[in-house]
Amino acid sequence: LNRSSECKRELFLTLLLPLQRSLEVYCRRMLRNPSQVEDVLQSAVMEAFARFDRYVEGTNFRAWMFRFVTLEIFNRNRKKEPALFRDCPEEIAAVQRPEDLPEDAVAGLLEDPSRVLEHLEDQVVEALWQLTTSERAVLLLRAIAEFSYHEMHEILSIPLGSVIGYLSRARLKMRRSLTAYAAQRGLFRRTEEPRQ
Amino acid sequence: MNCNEVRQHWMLYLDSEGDPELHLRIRNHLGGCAVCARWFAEQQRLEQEIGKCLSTGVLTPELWNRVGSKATVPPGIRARRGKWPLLTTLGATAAVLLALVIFFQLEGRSPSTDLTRNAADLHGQWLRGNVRPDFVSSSDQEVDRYFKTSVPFKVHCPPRTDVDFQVQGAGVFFMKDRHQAAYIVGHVGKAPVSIVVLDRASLDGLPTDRFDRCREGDFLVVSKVIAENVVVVIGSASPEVLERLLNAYGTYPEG
Repeated sequence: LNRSSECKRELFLTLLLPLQRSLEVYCRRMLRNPSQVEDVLQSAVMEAFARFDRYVEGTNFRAWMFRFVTLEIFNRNRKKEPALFRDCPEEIAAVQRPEDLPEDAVAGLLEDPSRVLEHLEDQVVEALWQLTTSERAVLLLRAIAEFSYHEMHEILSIPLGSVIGYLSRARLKMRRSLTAYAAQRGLFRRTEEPRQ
Repeated sequence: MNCNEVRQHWMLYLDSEGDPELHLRIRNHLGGCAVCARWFAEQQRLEQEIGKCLSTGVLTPELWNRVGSKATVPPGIRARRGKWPLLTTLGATAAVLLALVIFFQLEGRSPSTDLTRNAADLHGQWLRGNVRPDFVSSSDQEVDRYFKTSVPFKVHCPPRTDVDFQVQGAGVFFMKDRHQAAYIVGHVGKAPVSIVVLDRASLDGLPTDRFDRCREGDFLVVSKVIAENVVVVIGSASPEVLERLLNAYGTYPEG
């Protein structure tokens, strides 16, 4: 692509603009050290811009950009979380089902999720950190940027089956953690108790 | 589809993934099964609420102003930081450079450069399938012809007879936004190897006739100025193989 530097820069920034919020939120949720957010975004954007000549216009810029940010995050988190996307064993690739959790345990959460979750803002973040990096990445890519399974497979360079496995596992772990937090804080509606 | 089978695919259905036939069958079941319909609605609502919590967050415009201005400006004219951070950075850089020079002198190797880093990165991307050659061919002559129309400088593809290099494809990319580079990918034996070729004139101040060898991650990189080209050979093959391929490059007659 033979563009002048200024045109190239303008096009890059134009494409980047609508992604800024989701990239920033993703970065904040993924990083163990929140003070690194700006550094990570800067390095990732710099790297993407340096390779912008290899980006084909009209293709998936959003996924392309998230890949740079994800790789940069993995580099930063690597010391604390060395095990990243190893070959996915079959049990990980297997889809976890909601029935795998005791029904009565999540019943309260399913009954009125918005009411329960509005009291658990910090716990949602805490629950996120109970997940492995791979689980956290797929869950956030889906929740924040609504990427399809195929896009996540490309962003993370992992098999499609692993994406599905990690996502189902992450969702169930989140439910389990949130149910426990909600129960601890007495957020579930109790059945009629005899009044004295 | 019974209730159990339908619930087995709950995630694909909620995420609008999987094939249309599956969705149709699930929809049909939900149309006639109030229990499952309620179950799915509950799951969907919960996932939406969790998703909403996770995706909440505001944009920090100042942060993006800084990111945008620093990350998309050529290094030479990047905004200067404060005096002390700059001095500290310079000091640290000098120390690292000194250590590297000592290390590489002891090792008999030269420090890696942007050129070798970019070349090794390209090779890694190709191995991972993220980069596909613009031109796919197993014929060195076809690749030669491709380059005649693709780059403004001469590029040769090593023929198999020389060093058993089996070409698979070729392409063109830009290094550091400026330097147009040609690349050739292929194998020597079973080892994947990439050759990156630049126009010598495009690299100011590059020492001539200098042979470099360095390691970039998992790959060994050898490079040399050959005639009007800068040639970089990257791979996980033995150093001897890579050097033989590099040296062979210089033996081709002008096309």
